Amino acid sequence: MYGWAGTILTIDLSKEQIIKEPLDMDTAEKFLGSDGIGVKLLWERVPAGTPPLDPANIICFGSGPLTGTFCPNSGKMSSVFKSPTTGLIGVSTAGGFFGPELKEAGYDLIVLMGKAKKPVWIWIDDDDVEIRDAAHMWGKTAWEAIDIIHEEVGDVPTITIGPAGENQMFGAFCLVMRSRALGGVGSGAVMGSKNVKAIGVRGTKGVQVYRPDEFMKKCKEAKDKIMSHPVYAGFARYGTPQWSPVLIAQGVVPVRNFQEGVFPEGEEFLDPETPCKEVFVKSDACEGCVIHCGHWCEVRSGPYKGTKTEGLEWYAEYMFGPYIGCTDWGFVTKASVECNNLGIGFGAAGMIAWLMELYQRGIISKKDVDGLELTWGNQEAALEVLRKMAYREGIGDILAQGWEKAAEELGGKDFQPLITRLITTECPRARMDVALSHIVSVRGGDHNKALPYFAWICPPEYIHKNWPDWPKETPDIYNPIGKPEIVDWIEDWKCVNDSLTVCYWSTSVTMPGGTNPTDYAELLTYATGVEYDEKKLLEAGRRIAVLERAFNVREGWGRDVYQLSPMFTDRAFPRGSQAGVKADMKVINEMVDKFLERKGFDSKTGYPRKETLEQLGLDFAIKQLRKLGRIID
Amino acid sequence: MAIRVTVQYFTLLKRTIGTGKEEYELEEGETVADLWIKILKKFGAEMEKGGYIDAVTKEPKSIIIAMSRIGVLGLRHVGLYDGLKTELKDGDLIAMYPPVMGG
Amino acid sequence: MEQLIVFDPEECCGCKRCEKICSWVHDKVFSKARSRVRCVKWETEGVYLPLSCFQCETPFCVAVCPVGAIAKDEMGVVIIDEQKCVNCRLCLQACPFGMIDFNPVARTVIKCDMCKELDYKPQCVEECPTEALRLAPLDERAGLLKRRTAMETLRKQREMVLDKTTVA
Repeated sequence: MYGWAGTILTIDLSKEQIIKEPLDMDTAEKFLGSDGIGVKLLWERVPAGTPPLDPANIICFGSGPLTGTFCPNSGKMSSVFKSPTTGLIGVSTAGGFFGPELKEAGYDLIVLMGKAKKPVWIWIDDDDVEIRDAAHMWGKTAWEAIDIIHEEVGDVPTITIGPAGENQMFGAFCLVMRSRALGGVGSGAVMGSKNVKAIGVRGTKGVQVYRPDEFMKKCKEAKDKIMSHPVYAGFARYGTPQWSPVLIAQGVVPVRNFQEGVFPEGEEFLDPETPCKEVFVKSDACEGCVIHCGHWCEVRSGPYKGTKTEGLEWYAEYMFGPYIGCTDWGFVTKASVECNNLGIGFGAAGMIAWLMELYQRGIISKKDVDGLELTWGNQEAALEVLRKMAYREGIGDILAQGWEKAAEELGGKDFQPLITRLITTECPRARMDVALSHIVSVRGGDHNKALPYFAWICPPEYIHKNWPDWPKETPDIYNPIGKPEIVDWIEDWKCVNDSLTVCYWSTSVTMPGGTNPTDYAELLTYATGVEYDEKKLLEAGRRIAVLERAFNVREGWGRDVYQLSPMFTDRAFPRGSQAGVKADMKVINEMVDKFLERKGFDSKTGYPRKETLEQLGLDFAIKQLRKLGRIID
Repeated sequence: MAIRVTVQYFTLLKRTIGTGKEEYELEEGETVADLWIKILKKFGAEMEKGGYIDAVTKEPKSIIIAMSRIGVLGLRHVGLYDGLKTELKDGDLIAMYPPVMGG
Repeated sequence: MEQLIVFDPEECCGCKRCEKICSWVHDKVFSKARSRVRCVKWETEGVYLPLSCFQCETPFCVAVCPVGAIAKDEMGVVIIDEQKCVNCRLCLQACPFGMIDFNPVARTVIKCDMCKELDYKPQCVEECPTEALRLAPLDERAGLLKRRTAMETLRKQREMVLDKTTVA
C-alpha cells in the first residue's frame, strides 16, 4: 500500500470489539484522507439526529496519504465527529506526532463507536490493539494520564482528555501530545462520553511511496519553496503571535470582549519580540516540520515562575491577553498549561471574557459566580473559572453546558460574541472576508475552515493574476464583492489540506505563491500511484466541503444557522481605523446567499441542490436528505 | 504645504531596523515611493541587510505596506490605492511588516 | 577528510526529520523506528537531544564483536559488515551510549554509517531545519561549532540580564 496505510481501525466500545477493515480505494481516491473519509463515515454510520454525546455518535481520528512521508509539514491529523459544542459537524486538526505514528502502525483512521462500560484507554501497538482499563487514569489531568501511559508502554504519541472531557464539558478538547489540541468544537467531550481516557500508538511498519525518486525530488522542491517564502523567516522566529501587527494596525485587537479595538497598554505585550525575551527558550516543531512555529516556553519570573510547556500560540495569547484585559506572558503560559491539562478549548475559555463583561455591567455579581471577583484582568479569577468549568463545580456546571444554557441562567446573551455558534478573535464588523468566512464555516464561526488568510498578505495583483475571473474588488477585504468567490475557493483547498494532511502554514492557504494545489497533486500522485492534478484535487476538496455542509443540513440546520451576534451588529469599536462600523446584516446576508448558490446550495433554505450532490459523486446522500425534505430537487 | 504621516514597523522588520514607530514630514503630493526614499535615507543599510530592498528597482521587497487614512474605512494594502504612487495625505498611518501569518 | 556530526540540543526543535530521512536512506521506507539517528526527547523539560554513533576511536562494539564484523573504515566511520554479522546484539549491549539499535522489521542491528553510500554526506545534517546537526572536520576545529553555540547562548543570557538591570 502506497501513501495510504490501507486499514481503518474501528473500536466498538459497547461490544468491546476491535474491527479492522481495508480502506476502500475508491473512497480514498475521492475523499483523500482523514477529514474527507471521516465525514463520509460519519454520514454512513451515525443516524440523523443523533445527540452528539450519545453512544451512537462516532469520533474518527486519523491522517492522510501524505502523513508520515517526507512531505514537509505533513505531520498533522484530523478528527471528525458530530459536535456537542455546536450541533454541527465537528472537524478539528492538530499537529504533534500522533498522526504519523498511526500511519507507521498501519492505520489511516481510528473510529470510536459506542460507549465503554467503564473508563478505558486504547493501546495500539502495530497490529496489536487493546482496550485497556483506565480506572487509574480517570480523574487525572491530561499530563498525569500521559505520564502513566508512558510508564506503562514507553514514550509514545498520545491523545488524551482531561477532566473537562471526562465531564463532557461543551468545549472540551482532545489533547495531542502535551500541547497540541483537536480544539474548538468539543472532541474531548465526545471522547469522554464514550468513557475513553486516551489513545496511545506505536508504529514500526513505516510508510511507503509509489514513485520514490520523483517523490523525494518534489519534497525537496516543496521544502525549498516553503523555506524561501517571505512569510517563513518571521514564522520560524515568532510562530503565530506574529499575526499581531495586522490586528494592531487595523485597530481590531479583540480587547475586553470586543469592547475596544486598540490596546495601547498591551503594545509591548503584543510585540512578538516580547515573548521571545520573556518566555520562549527555543523553537519547537511538529513531526516533519520545517517551519517550527512552536516554542519551548519557560516562565522565568513572577507568580507563575517555573511553568514550562511547548506551544504558546496566537489563540492563547489573545484569549488570555487582550480578550480579558491581561498583558502578562507568564499568565498566558500558565493558562495554556491549565487548559491543556484540564482539556478545555480556548474557545470555551472565551466565556471568561463574557462573564467579565457581565460583571462590569452589573448583570451578574459575585454571588452569581461563587464569590469570584470577575474584574477585567483578574488572572486568578480567570484560572478559577477554567477549573470550575472542567470539574463542573458551582457556576462551572452551568458554564459547562454551553453558551445558550449559560445565557439562560445568567442573562447577557447579547454579549456573547458568537458567530454561528462559536467565538473567535477576528472581528466581523468591517472586514467582509472575516464576516463571510466565519458565518458560513461548516464547523461554526471561527478562523479554521474558511478564512482566506492569504488574501491579506499578498499584493492585490497576485489575486487578479491567479484568479482572473474573480471580481476586481476581491482583494479589498472591506468590500463584500468577490468574497463569496475567495471563501468558496479556500474552503475546498482547506478541506484538501485537512485530508492529506498538511499544515496550512506550509501551503498556499497561507503562503501566496508557495506550495499550491498543483504541487500537492504531484506529491499525491508520486506517493500513492493514483493520478491527480490540481482540478481533481480541488474537486475532492469541494466534495468534502459540500458533504460537510450537507451533513449540517441533514442534522436540521438550514439557512437560519448562519448567525451573527448583536455584539457585532449593534456595537462598534469606538477607536481605530474601523471605529464606528457595525456589521451590516443586509450586506452580509447577500454575501451568504451568493456563497451558498456558488457552493450549489439554495440560498433561501440552505439546502443542497440535487445536481450539486450528483456532480460530486455524493449520490448516497440524496435519499436521506429527500426523506427529510431537505434537498432541492 | 507640509503633511505629517506616521509609520509603524512590526515583527522582523522592526527588529531589523530597531524602530517601531516614527513620524515623517512630507510635501503635499509626495507619494509612498517618496516616503520610502526618506526611510531608506535613515535605514538603508539595515533594510539592505534584511533583504528588504529590490536589487534592481530599489523598491521595497518582501514588505507589506498597508495604510489607514482618516475618513476611509480600514487599513488597506497600498496596492488597493495606487501602489507606491499613492499620494499621501496628512494623518495617514502606514504600517510596514514582512508578510505575516497566524491565526 | 574525516568528519564529525556535531549535535546541538540548544537548536533542536524535535521535528524528527533526521529520523525520517535516515530510515529512508537505508531502508527506502519512512519509519522512525528504523532510524540510526535518534532524537531523544524529554517532553516535560523541552530537552531534545539528537544523537547518532560517535564513531569512537576505540569502539566498544568492535571490541566485543565475536565475528569481527565491525570495523572503522578509511574515513573513520564504524561500519557493521552485514555479511559477517550474526545479529548476536552484543554490540548493542556494549555501547555505553545506546547508539546501536535493532531494526524490528529486518531483525538486524543498525548504527549510523555517516551515509557512506551517499559519499559520506549525512542526510540528517542535510535535512535538519535548525542546524541542530552539523558537520565539523575531525581535527582541531571539531569543537569550534559547539564553542560558538555556547558563546551565543551566553551572549543571549547576558543580554537578558542586562535588559533587566539597565537603567533607562
